[in-house]
Order: sequence, then structure tokens, then C-alpha cells
Amino acid sequence: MAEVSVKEGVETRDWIELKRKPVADIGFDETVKNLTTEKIEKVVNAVLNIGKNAARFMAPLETCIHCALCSTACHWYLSHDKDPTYAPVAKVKMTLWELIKRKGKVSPEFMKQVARIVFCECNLCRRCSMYCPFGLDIAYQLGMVRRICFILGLVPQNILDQTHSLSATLNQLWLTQGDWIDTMQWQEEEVRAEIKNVRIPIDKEGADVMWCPLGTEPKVATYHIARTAKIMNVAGIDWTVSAQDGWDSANMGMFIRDMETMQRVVRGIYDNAMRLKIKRVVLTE
Amino acid sequence: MYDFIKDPSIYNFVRGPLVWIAFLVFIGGSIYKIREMVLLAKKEKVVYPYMDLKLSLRSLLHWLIPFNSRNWRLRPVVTTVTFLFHIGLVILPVFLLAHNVLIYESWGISWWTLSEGLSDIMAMIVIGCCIFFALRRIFAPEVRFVTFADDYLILAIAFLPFITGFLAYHQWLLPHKIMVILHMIFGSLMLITIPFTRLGHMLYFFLTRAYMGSDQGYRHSKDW
Amino acid sequence: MGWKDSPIETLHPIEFYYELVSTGRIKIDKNKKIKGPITIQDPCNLVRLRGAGEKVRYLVNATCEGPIIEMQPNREHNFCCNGGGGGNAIGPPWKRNRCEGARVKAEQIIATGCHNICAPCHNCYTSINDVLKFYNLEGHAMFMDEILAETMEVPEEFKVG
Repeated sequence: MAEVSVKEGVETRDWIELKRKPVADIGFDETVKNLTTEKIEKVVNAVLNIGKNAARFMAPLETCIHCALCSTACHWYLSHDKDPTYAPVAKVKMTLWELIKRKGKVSPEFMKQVARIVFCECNLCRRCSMYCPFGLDIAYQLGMVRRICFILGLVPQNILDQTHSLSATLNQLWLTQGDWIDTMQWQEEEVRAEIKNVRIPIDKEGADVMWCPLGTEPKVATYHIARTAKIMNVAGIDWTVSAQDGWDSANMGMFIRDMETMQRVVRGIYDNAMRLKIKRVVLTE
Repeated sequence: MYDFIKDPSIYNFVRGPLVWIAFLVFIGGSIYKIREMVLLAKKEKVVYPYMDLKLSLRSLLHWLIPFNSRNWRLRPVVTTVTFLFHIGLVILPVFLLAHNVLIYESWGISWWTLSEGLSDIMAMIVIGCCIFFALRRIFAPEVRFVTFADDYLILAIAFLPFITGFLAYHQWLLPHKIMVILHMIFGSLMLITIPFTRLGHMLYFFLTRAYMGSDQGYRHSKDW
Repeated sequence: MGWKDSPIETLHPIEFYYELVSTGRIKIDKNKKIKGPITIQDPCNLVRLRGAGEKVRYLVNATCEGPIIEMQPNREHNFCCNGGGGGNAIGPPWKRNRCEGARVKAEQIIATGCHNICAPCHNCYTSINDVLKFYNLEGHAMFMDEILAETMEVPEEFKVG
């Protein structure tokens, strides 16, 4: 890969390389081997071209005065003894501005660092936007970079797997419909030891409330289901859960900016709510 | 070079057409840029539905009053300097006596002006603030990390009209007339560059702030 | 969450529980209230993007005896727990990295001196527990459904036996 870069006239080490503890993640280490500068260039320019038509993307680029007043808003910056490379504006600088400056002609190693910055050193919590005198949506910009990384496949393995699961089953942890219904019935039985005649109504049409748990709840944290069943029953709520796929309120597609999966997950929930003629939806996440 | 600047035709040019060009470019460019951004925002599905005048003004007001948002309070020095700088930057050119005299000579209109002593102090404050910003760019690690050459350039663009105006008023360093010519050239340069460089944050401030204020306000949250 | 023109009203559990408790559909048993001082982790999605900070405080006040000792800063200004935005979901290899990035959170918790931390968001809950373990702090995060299910009054007709 290095040969290709040199031929293209791209310096592989002319960007600031961060000194971070190396973390092994197949999602980064393996996919980066399949990348070339041409591939990256193509993806970056495709995403940035969409960005050029977006005011939310362009306005911050032309407004940011590089005052670094956002830095103290970031918990990463404060947690690392005010290391300037963790400041929000620095993260934008090292990722987006660099990609724009080079028009996407960057080496795979650079992209790997970009992916680490946007996925593993930023939570898109929007606190920096609250502390920016201009109210620039830094989270949106880093989200665009996440989108570039996602299309390139440079995503931490765990979250990518969960997104794949969402796109295949509309839940986060590869649960089948049978597992899901089974878990609900099992929990109903468990809670009956404490509270008389507890019901977890599945697919009840016309209920007031549809509850959408997180995929982890039926898989590893069933006590959440038990507690919710207790609360709902004691309060006498007319509630239900959906039997069909689209009961999971986790949306990993949103985190890695896989818009397509993200839309399908949201749509799945609304579809179920419409199908069951639900009045309100309670989403755990 | 020296003779060239002393040539009266240069003075006539910078006093007449150049200032006209500068103002036309500044106003035209600003309208163009804002219009472009507003049209661009219209294309996006998620910007316009959230926009709300009341929430926008609320956010703008909180950030335009010194120490009224948490980040202003957290950084008292930067806040003080920022506000003094921007107040000087906007108020001083508009209400300066000398500028008013020029406008009166041309069009016969004038308005309230600052006293000469106060103007002098304000000019010194702006110059001092510029130096503070430059030092901050050099010595604060988090700012230095994100500083590019054009950051110094736009700081210089803001700095030069004030330093030349200040020197011209006191008739120091260079002959008065040459300093005035330089002052007018740099002033025009600043006006021309505002819409087309990141000095445009003067215009976009109101748009981005309004968007963030509306967005946060819509979510029953606040952004100050 | 938080869209305009959403076809069906969507609620965060906190907002839903707030409704249940404030309208009296769930009554809190005074004897079962959580003891000791408690602090609140304001989740980004709930507070910054939903503006429900006061509802969390209402619920905690209703269910816990001890005083609420606020983290500094709090509400909209609270720091992210470092588990949001995919921070937890990027997986086990990054756990150390994540906990190191959450040192301010640990400092905030130490400053409150509380052992009970109400974390009404799945990401915050997981993340706060990790942070506590990583920095060898005493205490534990508590989820809102946990607090509510423990402290609510269970009427006679629901009791088994």
C-alpha cells in the first residue's frame, strides 16, 4: 500500500501522528489493509459533495475562528490533562479539515487514525456545541466523518457487528423472533413469583403504550424486563410489546452514521406501532 | 515607492473609488453570502422546521451579553478581551469623529460621535486585544494546535486599520498623509475580505447561533 | 427521538415514569425509599436533547430519602459518561481507553462523595459502573426502573400468597 501512496505523490507521514496507546481492533486493523488512496478519495469526495449542499456542514467550516473555546467542554480533553489533541476543534482539524485540504488523497494509515478519533475519542455528546460562541454543530461534522469511515468499513468490530445484526434482524444482538417471545414469556413467569397475575401482553392491538426495550435487555439483562413488567402492571397501564421484528430501540446505525439501517430501525418501530394502533411508544434508548 | 504613495492621485483614488468599491463589495458580498447560506439551509429537511424566532433570539441574547453564558463565565479573561475587541471593532469606525467629518464633507450628513480621547482609548484597547489574541495563538497549546497561517492573516487584517489609524491620529512613524492612505487601504481591505474569509463569522454568527438555539430550545434544552 | 412531526408520540422511560409518579398511578412506599445521599448522572440524550433534567430530579426526590448531591457541573452542562454515541458499543478492546477518557466523570463522582449514582440511561449505567471499577471507587450506578420497582407501593391485590 505504501508503494501506491508514494507513486501518487502522497506523503504518508506528513500528518500529525498521535501518540496513543495502541488498541487492537479487527474492525480497524483488518479493513485498513484493503484500503487504497483511490478508494478513500472516492468515498471522501462522494460524502463531501453531499456535504457541500448542506448548510449544517458548510456554515461551521466558514465560521469557525479556531478560538478553541470549545476545548474545556470536552471530557476527553479534561481527562487527559488538557492535551490539545483531544479538544473538539482539534478533532475536526485532524479529520475533516485535513480531508478537505487534501481532497481525500490520504493514506490508509491516516484514515485509520481518523477512524480512531471519531469513533473512540468522541461521543458526539454535543457539549462542545453548547460551549462554542457560535453554536457550531461539531457533532454533526464529526458524524459526517464517521459516515466516511463507515462507508470505507473502518468501524470498530463490535459496533459494526451490532449494526449488521440490526440490518438483518432489526435487533442489536442477533435474537430471533422466537427467542424474543420466549424471553418475554419466561420473564412473565418469573415475575409472577412476586406479583400476582402479571401480564406481558404481546402484540395487543389498540394498547395505550408500546414498550420498546434495548436489544441487550432480553439477551443479557432480563431484570429490566421484569422490573418494567412490575411497574406497568402495578400502575395498571394498558401496554404491550411487539411480537414482530422492530421491537429493539437500540440504533447502532445512528452511531456509525449508517443512515440506511438507522432509517429501517426507526421505521420498524413506527410500523409496529401503526400495525398495533398504539397511542404512545416508550423507548428505552 | 515613497514618491508613488505621495502622488495625490493615489490619495484621491483611495478616498474616492476604493472606498466605494469596498463598501459595495462588503454589502453586496454579505447579502450574497447570507442568501446562499439561507438557500442552502432551505434544501435541508431538518433545518427549517426547527427554526424558531423566539428561541433564536433567546440564544443570541444570552451569548451577546458578556458573562451571560457558562463558557463566558468560565473564561473571564478571554471573555473580557473578546467583548472589548468586538465592541471597539464595530463602534469605533462608525462613531469616529474623523470618519464623520469625511462623511459630512461628502454628503452633508453626520451623527453622534465619540470624543477624541475616548476614541483614542478604544483604539488602544482594540490594538491591545489583537496582540492578546496573537499571543494566545502562540502560547495557549490548545489554540496553537488549531492555528493556521490564515488565522494570523485575518487577525492582521483586523489589526492593520486600527494601528494605522492610531498612528495617523498621533502622526507618528510615517508622515500623516501616507499613514492615512495606508489606513484607508487596509480599511477597505478589511471590508472587502469580511464576506469572503472567515471574518465572515460576523455574518454567520447570527445564523449558526439561531440554528443551535432553536435546535436546543426545541428539545426543551438550552445552549448557554 | 425528538423529531418534529413524529407520527406517534415517543417517550423516554423517564418521562413516562414521571407521568406515572406525578399522577399518582404509582405510589412510593415511604419505608422502602433508597437511603443515603444520591447523585444524578444527567444523560446527554435525556437532558441535552430532551430537556428532562427536572423530571429525573422529581423522580429521585420521590423515591430516595437522602439528599441529592449534584455533580458539578450538572443538568445541561453535565459531562458525557463516555459511553454514549457508540462509546460503549465499540466494544471491549476500547474499555481501558474509554475509562481513561472518563477521568473527569470519576472526579465528579468523588467530589460528590456519593455511593449511589442514579444513571437513567443504559449507556450511562454501564459506563458509570465501568468507571467506578476502573478507578477503584466505591458505589454503584442505579437504573431508574430498578429504583422505582424497589420503592413502589405494591397494592394488596397484586401480592402473591
